[in-house]
Amino acid sequence: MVTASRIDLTGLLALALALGTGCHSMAPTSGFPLLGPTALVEPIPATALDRAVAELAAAALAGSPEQVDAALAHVEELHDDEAIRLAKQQGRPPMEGLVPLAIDLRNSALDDPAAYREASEELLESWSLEPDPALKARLERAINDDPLKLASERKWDHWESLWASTFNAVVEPLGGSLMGGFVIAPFRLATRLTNYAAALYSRPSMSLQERQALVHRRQYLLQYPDTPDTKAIRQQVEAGEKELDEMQAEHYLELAEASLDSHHYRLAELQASRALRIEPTDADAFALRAIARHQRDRVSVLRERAVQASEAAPPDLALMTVLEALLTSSNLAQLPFVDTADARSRQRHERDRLERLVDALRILQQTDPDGELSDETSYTLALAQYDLGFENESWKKLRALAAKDPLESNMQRHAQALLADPWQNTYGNFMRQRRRANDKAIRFRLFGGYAFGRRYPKLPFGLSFLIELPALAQTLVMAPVRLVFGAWNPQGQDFDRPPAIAGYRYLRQAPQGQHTRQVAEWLYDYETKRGDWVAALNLYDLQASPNALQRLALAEKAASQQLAAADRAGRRDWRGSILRGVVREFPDSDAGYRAGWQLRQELETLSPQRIRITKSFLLENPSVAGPHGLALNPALLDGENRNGEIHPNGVTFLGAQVLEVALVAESGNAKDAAVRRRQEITSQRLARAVAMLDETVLLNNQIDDGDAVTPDAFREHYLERARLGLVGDPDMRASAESTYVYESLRERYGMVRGRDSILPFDLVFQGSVSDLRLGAFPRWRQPRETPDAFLYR
Amino acid sequence: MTRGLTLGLCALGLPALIGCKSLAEKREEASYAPTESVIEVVAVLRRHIPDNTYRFPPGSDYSGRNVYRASLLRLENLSELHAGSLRAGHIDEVIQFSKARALERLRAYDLAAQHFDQASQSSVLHKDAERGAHLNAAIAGALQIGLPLADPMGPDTKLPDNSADVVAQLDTRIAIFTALLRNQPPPPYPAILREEIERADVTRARYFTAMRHALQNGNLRAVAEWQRVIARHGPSKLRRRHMLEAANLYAELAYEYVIAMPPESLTFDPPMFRELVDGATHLYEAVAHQDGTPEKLEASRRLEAFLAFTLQVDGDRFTN
Repeated sequence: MVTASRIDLTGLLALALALGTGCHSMAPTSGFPLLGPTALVEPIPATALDRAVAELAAAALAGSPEQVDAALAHVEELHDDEAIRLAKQQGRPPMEGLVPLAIDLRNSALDDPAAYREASEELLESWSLEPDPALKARLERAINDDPLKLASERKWDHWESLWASTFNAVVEPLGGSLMGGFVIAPFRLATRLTNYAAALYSRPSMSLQERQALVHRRQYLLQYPDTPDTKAIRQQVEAGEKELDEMQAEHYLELAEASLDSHHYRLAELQASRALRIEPTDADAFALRAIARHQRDRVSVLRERAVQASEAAPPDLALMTVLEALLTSSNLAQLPFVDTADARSRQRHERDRLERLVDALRILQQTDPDGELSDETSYTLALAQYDLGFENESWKKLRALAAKDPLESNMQRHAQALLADPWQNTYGNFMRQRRRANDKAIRFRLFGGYAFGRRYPKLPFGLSFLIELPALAQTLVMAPVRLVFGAWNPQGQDFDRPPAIAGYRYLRQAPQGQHTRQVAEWLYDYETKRGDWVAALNLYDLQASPNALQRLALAEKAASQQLAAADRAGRRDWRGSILRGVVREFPDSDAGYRAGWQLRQELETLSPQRIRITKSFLLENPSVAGPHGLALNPALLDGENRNGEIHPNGVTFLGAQVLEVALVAESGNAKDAAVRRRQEITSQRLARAVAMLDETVLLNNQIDDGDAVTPDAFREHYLERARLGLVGDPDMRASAESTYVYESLRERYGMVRGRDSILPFDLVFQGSVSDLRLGAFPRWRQPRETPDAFLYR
Repeated sequence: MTRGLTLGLCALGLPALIGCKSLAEKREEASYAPTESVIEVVAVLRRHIPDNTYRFPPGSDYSGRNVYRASLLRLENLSELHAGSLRAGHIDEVIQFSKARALERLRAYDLAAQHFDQASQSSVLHKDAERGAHLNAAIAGALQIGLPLADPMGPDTKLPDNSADVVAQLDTRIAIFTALLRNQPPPPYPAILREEIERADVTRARYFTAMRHALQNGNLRAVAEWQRVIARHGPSKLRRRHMLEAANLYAELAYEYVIAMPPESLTFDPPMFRELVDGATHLYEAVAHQDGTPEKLEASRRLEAFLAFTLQVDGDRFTN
């Protein structure tokens, strides 16, 4: 009994193992043809109905309306139920959808888009005829392509957007306080409504959808200048254009005000001028421009006064000599570092000159420390010290000068300008940017999104502050929680980027400066934190005590990073260039080896095209693989491994007339790497396959919006040439390569395709840890923007 | 909304109530016989034959492709796929005529003339096909006269030196188109002829823009030529493009002026610089205010860049 159960257990274990490891039947990968015979092209005699349809088409293209009607009547007469039955009996296509198509052809000859739309609506609503899904979709698109209808839809979107904001402003705070927050519900409602009112006030006077409606109406006027509606539409357009002009002028005025506030007077003047060009009589714009001009003139006067020559006695002769020496000396840190005798001699010579200069200036200073030209001496001494490489001493002196009273010191403003100039005082700028970054980070961690400005800048400061106060207070209280769980930096923003730029600038300007190592260390930390290993590696050698092993690990990471960049490169020549770079720069790393291997593989399997059709697509669209298309061997798609089976990767057009078929590996496991077999096909087979593929995807697109193929110019270029039999000479340019993949709906959307809800709102369940509240409410969806919305911003 | 409701009811499992069909069923229903496929393409093309493509952009089919190009490609597909059924020849003239109509909108006039010739066997199509063949041959012939707009990456980009000859030849070409237009041909030929006249004018303006450094008063002439294009082709769909070209030329001249005459130098002439800046700014602004067009984006970005450039010129040398 025990033995028997042991045997049973062993059998079950073996079965489980077999299932667990995936038991697949073996699949051959050779010894069978990849292609089958193509369908024969046999001439089929035309029927009377075929000829009648041809007559109708000819009449629609070039005949009179009477001819078209007569030809249509003839088609309808010939195409009765009896004819359909007979066609089915004789194995001919029954053409059950012919009459609606013929009526549409007649309608298309109306030569008036509005009349065509009307006739199409009649055809769609006709009870006796049912257009096929493709025709139905085409007619619906044509009917919807009416400028006035589109204008009404956009206007409706505008109102729906307003309604959605209003609805959400009321329902969200009430529904969000269902459990645990009922006491504060009135407060939340009041806050939300105040914010809603502020947002409504801050909205542009003309919404994006209203602007779209205006353009559609303008289009209508251009297309139909003489209709009964024209006068009313023109009035609407004129009113809309006036509102748009006012809004744009107002926008420039706001920009001008902001520029004025930030002391950018020229910019303010420019923006006010732009507002005036749109609204030439705008008094506010006039006033703003006048203020900006006045401020600019005031600054100009101050500047002119600043550069006026002094009437004092000419400078001391000794100082003149010193100034001459300064003008002809060089900055030692900026001299090119070349280890030659000439360069060393020049370096020594410059150093001697600068040292003599510094000595002379010190003597001048000691002789008359409070003299009339003591500031000039001090300033010149600071410059000479900087050139000698004593950065700290130099900036210290300049800071002291800048701190003096500008009315008493001639050189105060010069020292201040040098200190503030990010290109002159690169280290000072680096430190300044770091302080700013720290400030911003602290503010963000305390106040969240409120740290970067007001949400309603159009409102007066006090009012907007009052409206935002409750949320601001809540954000401040929640700061510790955010510190633990929240984002360290706001989405898409890196506070440390400006100091990093300033740091790199310093390193470029002073590669052997006093602060080079300190700046390099900070930059190294910054780059390692954000995972830019290539940049980190470049900085590593500037660190205080570089370690060979650590450097090796860093090089490996940098090489892997570049390898990943190669995978992202869209074109094979770009990818090849990056891979070659990795091999050259990191020859001793694993990633370097992988790059070399990948490069070799790419060269071995190089092909002008890589347009792939997956197996799932072929199964979903059997006509493409069938005898009228590619005419693949049907055994390859029958799901049986024993006679060979196509791998899920499917088939690939490799350019010229070469087809690559991916087959399931001999293991029979579709998850294993495919075995690829290439086969040259005839130009006729290729042309027919391409024509069938194109017709199939066009039909799919027509009857199902979600089945559209993404535009790909290079795919189209190849397919067009293949259809005409012009691909014998392959186009090897990397820019001509397409890697498009035709996928089935299942592959694109999974088992169940997500559909838009028929309800206009989403149901939201909300919980809050901060005030232990639970709620549920409907949130009205904002109308979806049309794809061309970006052309209206 | 109706579509959404239908989808929703389908999703709720009520297909029998409203007659939902699977994609495969829809595909089966929409699989046309060869003759049906041809009239479907002809119907789509026929709708767009009278379109005024000089004033408005060409129509597009449901896949977003230019409708003339898409129709031509579909006719090629059908000829390939239904070669057997179509070999009877009952619909050959219709196919040739339709291809000709598509080809003439794609500027392949010589090919269009050939296709019209082949379609003229049909008694219904005969008159229009003959006229089409004649007009297309005339347009193709006229395009042989004078300077073409050559491929800038092609081997032959050398421009002729004699501007008078260039102008005379292009005028001859335009005179032929104008004469054809005066005979009041039916649609779509007025639009096609106006497009070709516009193209000849643009060729001329581009010639003078390219030759502005080689000709006497070349810059002034180039600006004048673009102003001529803008004035002559106000109703064109390309008017915003012409304005952008003119604005770009003004901007380029302003850049060149600042490089040649640095604002801090004594030779800088503020009124001259202002004329160039105003020319560019006004044109860019006019285009940038045209909602819903791709040129709006291009103009507004270029305008911002250009204004930033003018702000680099010292305030005492240039005022906005």
